[in-house]
Amino acid sequence: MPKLIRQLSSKIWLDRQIAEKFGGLQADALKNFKTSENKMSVFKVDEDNKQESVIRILVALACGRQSLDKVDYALFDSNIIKKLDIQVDEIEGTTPDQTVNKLHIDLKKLSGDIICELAKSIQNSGELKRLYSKDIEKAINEGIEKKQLQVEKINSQLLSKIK
Amino acid sequence: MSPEMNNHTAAYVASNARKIYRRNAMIDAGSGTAEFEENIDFCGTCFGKDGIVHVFLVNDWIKSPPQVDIGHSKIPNIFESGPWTAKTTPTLPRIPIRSIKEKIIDRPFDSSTSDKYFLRGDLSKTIQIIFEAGKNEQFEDGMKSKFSIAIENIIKNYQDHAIEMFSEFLTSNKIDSDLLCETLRTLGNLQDDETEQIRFQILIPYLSHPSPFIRDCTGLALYDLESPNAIPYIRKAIDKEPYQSLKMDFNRIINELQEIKSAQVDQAT
Repeated sequence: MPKLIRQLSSKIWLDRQIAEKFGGLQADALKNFKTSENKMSVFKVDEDNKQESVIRILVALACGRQSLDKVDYALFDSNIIKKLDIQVDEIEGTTPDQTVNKLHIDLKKLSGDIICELAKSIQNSGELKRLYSKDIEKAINEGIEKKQLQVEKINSQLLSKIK
Repeated sequence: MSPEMNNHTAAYVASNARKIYRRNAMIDAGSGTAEFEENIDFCGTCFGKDGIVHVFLVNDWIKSPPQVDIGHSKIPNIFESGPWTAKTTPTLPRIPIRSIKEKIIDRPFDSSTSDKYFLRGDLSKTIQIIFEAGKNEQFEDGMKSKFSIAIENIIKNYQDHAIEMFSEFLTSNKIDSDLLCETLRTLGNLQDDETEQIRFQILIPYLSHPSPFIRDCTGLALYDLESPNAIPYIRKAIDKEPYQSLKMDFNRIINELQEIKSAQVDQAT
């Protein structure tokens, strides 16, 4: 089953053990699922090269930031989207990595109820992970070296902080 | 250390002070949650390249004093440009900063000394305003918030005095968790060697905060601070930590700090 990736504000809000103690999905967990015009971004993970693809997506997203920071993310089966009958638009992303941009998907026409269900499903069956700022810095440098990243599209403030 | 220009913070504080004052005034004139009084005339001193930027809280002054004592100097006619403004005035003597090597608990402010009393009161009000204003902000990883810029500037200007006040403010007020996290992350991220030890001391107790979210933020702040001295404290936190994911994150942070420690040892030899 193909995997999807969603950048999170804080993975701890979706932590299963904490949720169990809390008695279910915390309202704070919804901070991870901000929408705009009832749409939300996710990325498809390249199944042939899963680990590299995940890092490349996260690094491309981090390139839009002003400074190096951790990236929390959830990796989950695309099946969840189908089960919840969520509509999708495969619209090219706007990151500095063209390959990553082709993996971008907009989940659309999202209702509040669906967001809650999606959050619950990701909490129950997704992988919640973190990439630390040093890993991101290393990967950005590699991305620039391999010409995977368009330097001019990287946030200039961030670029000035990369060693 | 030459302090960073602080017009930004002064303007930020001034504009937000106005909003907060107005908001509070609507609820209960002059005594809202921020507890500003009708005749508060001065809430902060910020050092700038061209002098000192003063932020005033002035609202419908009837008896504006022609001049105000600040430290050892007099500032003439400070209200000319109207209320709620940030003004740049000629350079005043720097208020001495005490040694950061002293422990925070060993050196409470002496309110009997006028300049320290002024500094304490001004900083307290400024910090109060920054936190009030911060409630309206949304924070994002890797993005500078106005709130964090304001905190950074205050710390760079007032160093241990500011950190002492922040510490007091954090422990004596109920702070929204997002705001507290942003504060801790800012303390960890600040590039200022002179205050590193004090920032470290403030961060450590939050490793045992009741909220796992705040414990997580504290771990991240210590990761950013890159101080291997945190290793034993994080180890203790792991022993007490009930949640597996946080234990794993703390272990990862320890590994990073150990690498830094090894590199420091290699450099020294």
